[in-house]
Amino acid sequence: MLGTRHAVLLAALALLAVTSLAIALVTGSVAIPPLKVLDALRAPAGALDADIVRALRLPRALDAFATGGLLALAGVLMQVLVRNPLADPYVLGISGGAAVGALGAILAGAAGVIIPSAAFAGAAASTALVLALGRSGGAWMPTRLLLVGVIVAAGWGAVVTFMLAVAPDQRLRGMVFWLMGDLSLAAGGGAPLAALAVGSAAALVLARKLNLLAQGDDRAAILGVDVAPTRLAVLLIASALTAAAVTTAGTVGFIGLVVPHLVRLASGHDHRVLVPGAALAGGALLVLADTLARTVLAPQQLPVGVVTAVVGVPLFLFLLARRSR
Amino acid sequence: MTPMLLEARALAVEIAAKTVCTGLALRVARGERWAVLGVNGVGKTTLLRTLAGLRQPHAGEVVLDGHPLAALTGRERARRRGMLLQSEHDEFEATVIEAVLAGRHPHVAPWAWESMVDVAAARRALEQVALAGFDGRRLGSLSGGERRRVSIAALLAQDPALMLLDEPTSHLDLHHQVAILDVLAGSATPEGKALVMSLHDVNLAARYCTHALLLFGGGRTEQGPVREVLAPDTLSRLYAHPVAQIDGPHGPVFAPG
Repeated sequence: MLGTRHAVLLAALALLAVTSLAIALVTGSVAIPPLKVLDALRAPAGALDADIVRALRLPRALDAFATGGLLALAGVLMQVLVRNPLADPYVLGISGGAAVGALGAILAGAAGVIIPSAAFAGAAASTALVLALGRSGGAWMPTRLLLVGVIVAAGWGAVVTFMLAVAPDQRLRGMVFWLMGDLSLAAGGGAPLAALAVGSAAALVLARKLNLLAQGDDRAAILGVDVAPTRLAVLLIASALTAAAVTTAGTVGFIGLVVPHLVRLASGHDHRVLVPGAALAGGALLVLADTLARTVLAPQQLPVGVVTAVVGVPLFLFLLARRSR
Repeated sequence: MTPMLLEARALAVEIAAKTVCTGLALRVARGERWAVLGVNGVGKTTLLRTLAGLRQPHAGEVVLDGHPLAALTGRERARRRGMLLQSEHDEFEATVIEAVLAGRHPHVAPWAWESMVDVAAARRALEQVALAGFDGRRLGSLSGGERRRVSIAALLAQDPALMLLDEPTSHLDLHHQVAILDVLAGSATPEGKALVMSLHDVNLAARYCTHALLLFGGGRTEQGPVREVLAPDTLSRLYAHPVAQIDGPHGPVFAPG
């Protein structure tokens, strides 16, 4: 059964998630006291406070939470898939495909829902490419997947650089913000949250098999896991989660890399705890990072990816130093 | 009549254009302890992996407890046969108890958590390999021999009737070689388990095994009770090196000439 230590950890992370959302709702360039925020959530539309909280802050906070959760969960799955704790959701080049789709749309002058749609199409195309090229001996093995991912990412990178080079000046800013990861265009439609819920449930179903796959394909097979179909399921789920995240907020870095490590430090390696823990922690951290991104230089807004990188790089180096000890 | 625990029928195993065996008929009953002997690269590991169902045979079939391997689900296989891999590669810093509890996977219902029974089985397995109290240690902090014993404990916790062991004594010092083989051999009773293990040390095979399967390469094999198969002239042919027999405290001892 779920141990006391794990139950306490998950409860604490759930509390952190709720707290981060509360902080996001009360923070902004218009000062609205916490009690007023509660009123605004219930007030009829039309009041200024209600519009700011319900139309601006709440959708953005929920999108940030969903994106962070999606990235952290995708990171957990990718790390098992390529059996490398230093892998992140973008390790298979999905972000590159999404970037080419989104930047192509921006370059063509598209706006609104066309940009995320193009990003999703790019992510799906990139995943299909990796699935086709990464197969060897009837399965998608770690080393080959990694190599194919690196090469596909490099190819997309060249296309992205080309697009930036030929882009007219007035489009460059939007393109750079998308590349760094940005939630200012988040629509808050609930689709990212739904993706997070479905993805978490699917990952939980596979959780014990993930524990065994992390020990190696042969170990998993000896203990009764059907390795090839399970690996394919993990690959498809992780790709879908990553695609949903980049479609919502562009390529936010470091959440998918750092959060699984942070949660593992507290939870151990049992994916039955790690999966929900990473989803909650990733969501909470991205909400906090985005709140910083839109307030620290207000009224100027930063892409949230800048904040996650500034926090994530030293944190990751610290974890790496700890690991090699 | 109860079926043989493990049966290989007309088994042909090939790897990289090399023939490990052709038409191999092997019958392993509970209580038997088989040694698989042969020179480096002759295909001992490949044969064990085929018997475990980790790779497909070129021809023929493997029958486990009366059921063709192909007809069993992964979980059904895992409850009947286990395998000690030649080496493990730990990419994540799991703990000793996490690694050993993983062996209980086939016994835990798909939606359940490990019960106290499973934890007790894991602790008992750690005691059997003299690693009691190592529960919380990180795998990366163990010595090669300790890590090896964790893998053996995971296999004991899995508790399969058929144990396939790929060089169970590698990384182990003299004392632990004997201690671990005592534990493993002790579990192979007529109602209990059977062992099939690849070994480099002919003398451990002579001391602990009831039967031996010799792989000569090119698909040629010989098999039988150890006292018939393990003879100086056969072993000299097997290793392409002269082997002499001396009388030791536990029976014959073979020494390279």
